[in-house]
Amino acid sequence: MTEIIKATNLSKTYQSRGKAVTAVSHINFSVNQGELFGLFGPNGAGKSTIVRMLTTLLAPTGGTATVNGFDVVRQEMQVRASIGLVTADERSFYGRLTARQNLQFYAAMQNVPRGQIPQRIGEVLALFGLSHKADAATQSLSTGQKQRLNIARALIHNPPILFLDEPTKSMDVQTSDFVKALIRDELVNQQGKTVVFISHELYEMENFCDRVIILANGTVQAVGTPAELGALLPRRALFRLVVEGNPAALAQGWQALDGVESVTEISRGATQTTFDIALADERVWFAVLAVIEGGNGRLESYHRADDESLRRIVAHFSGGELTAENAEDAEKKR
Amino acid sequence: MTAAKLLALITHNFRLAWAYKLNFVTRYLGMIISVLLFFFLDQLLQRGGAGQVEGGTYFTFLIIGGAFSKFLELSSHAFSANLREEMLQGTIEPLLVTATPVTLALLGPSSWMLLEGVLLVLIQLGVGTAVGADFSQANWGTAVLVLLVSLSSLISYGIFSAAFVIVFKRGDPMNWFINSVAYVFSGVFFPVELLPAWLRIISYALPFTYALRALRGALMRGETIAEVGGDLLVLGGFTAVLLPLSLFALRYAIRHLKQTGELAHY
Repeated sequence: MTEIIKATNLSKTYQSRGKAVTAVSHINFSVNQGELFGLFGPNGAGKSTIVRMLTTLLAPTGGTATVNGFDVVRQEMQVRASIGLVTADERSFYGRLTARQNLQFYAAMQNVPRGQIPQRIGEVLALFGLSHKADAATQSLSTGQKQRLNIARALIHNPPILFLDEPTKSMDVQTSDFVKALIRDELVNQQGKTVVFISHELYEMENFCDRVIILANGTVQAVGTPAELGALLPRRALFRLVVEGNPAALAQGWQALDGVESVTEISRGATQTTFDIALADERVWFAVLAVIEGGNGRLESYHRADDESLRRIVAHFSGGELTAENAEDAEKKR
Repeated sequence: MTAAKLLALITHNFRLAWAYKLNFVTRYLGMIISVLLFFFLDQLLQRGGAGQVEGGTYFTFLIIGGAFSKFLELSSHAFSANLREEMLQGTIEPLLVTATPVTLALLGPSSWMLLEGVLLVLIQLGVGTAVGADFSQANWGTAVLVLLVSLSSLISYGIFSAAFVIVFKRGDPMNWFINSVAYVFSGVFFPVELLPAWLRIISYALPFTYALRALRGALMRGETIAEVGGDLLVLGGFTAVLLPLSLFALRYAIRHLKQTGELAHY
């Protein structure tokens, strides 16, 4: 695999009123050619700072980075010729000019030969379903259309690498799905482009990115495929159970088991009680069931309150607490 | 490639200017109306028995001063005005991640405004001639050379101005300097000889004074390049000092921009 983006000890420290504020600290990672790479982290994790350094908008204060084999500090022009950048802010257009006029301008600035500009504009507009809007003033486009045009703009010079910073932020679900399918199927799978997809929303990355880097406080917490990251987790598990039987006796029986970290009574009804049980090892689950059977209780229902999703992985790597409540809340939001 | 980009920038910025048609038209209309203002001002002074100024009518003197001041305003203000516009509407970042040198990306959007400055000067001179300004003695070759040499000096102020906008966002001392000090002391509306001797020191410290004097010499008295050579040399001297300094200031501003990442701030 060819490493098309490589960051080595990349750091950025800002000076703010005489104080040094570290936004990114000694990060190391690489992105392979043709990969859909997710850059994930909560707000303030350093995602945008990294992207701005890799796209030459910001100078690193330490370390090095190469994009398409070019150094981001010493070979800025070559780096910029190799990339397209889309930010969540769709204000990258001259509102009074048409989509075509905007693209003509950016194409010229990106060294697209004059004779090829009309054809290239036609291609990118068609790709994003905007051919019918070619001669509409960009200020008359909807937010979703502007954002699609934004990606078309970034592709106008057919760069091998795309940086997409929350590109679906202002889109409705259908448009977002359309754009993500286009990125995955057309740009990555068909055209072999490398895409760095930045988001602070996990649902955006799951079942979409080949690999994900998890950032927190300007440092890399983990890098890998969602499956690889999941395998790094200890086999802890959190179950929510609704049982019939003597609550005090059941709780006592569970707490006596090796590998049970905690037992929390959530609610008690006339005949049923709800518990959260945190296990150090998910295999202890069978012993938990045995305690119910042995105490003449009955398991009414249960579910894993955690899961193997990226959310759990992030919670683990960023030190977030995993409880049934916040896991369920997050599930509802999805 | 740079020539193609410059052409694209000019076309693009003309389209943008034309997209706001009322603003576009009123700019040219304002230029024509100012010619009428100068004409009637001249009529008033002639009633009072005012004679000739620098070898020509006061009207011709004013037309040249007015045209030059517009040229001065546009060329010194163009860079900062366009840059701030790009920053406000959010188009500066997409422009800076294109394969275009940063200096061209920052200053290039002003190229149309500079051309328009030349166009407005020509229009004012043309309308002025139609209304009675006397350019029968004009040496146009010398005038064009004076304008070109002046432009290189004026652009330095524009580049300084752009550097200020990049670093401070608002508060452009260069613009203030041009709009106040330069107008009063460089002889735009009256000969600098009318100023007290101690204030004339300021006039002679400004490149605009020499530019205007040489331009009036060429257009009103038909002076040759040799005759305005002294002023051209002084203008060249100003350019030799100001242009490298302004480019240094711009380089500093760009470095500041890359270190702070404040491009999108305004």
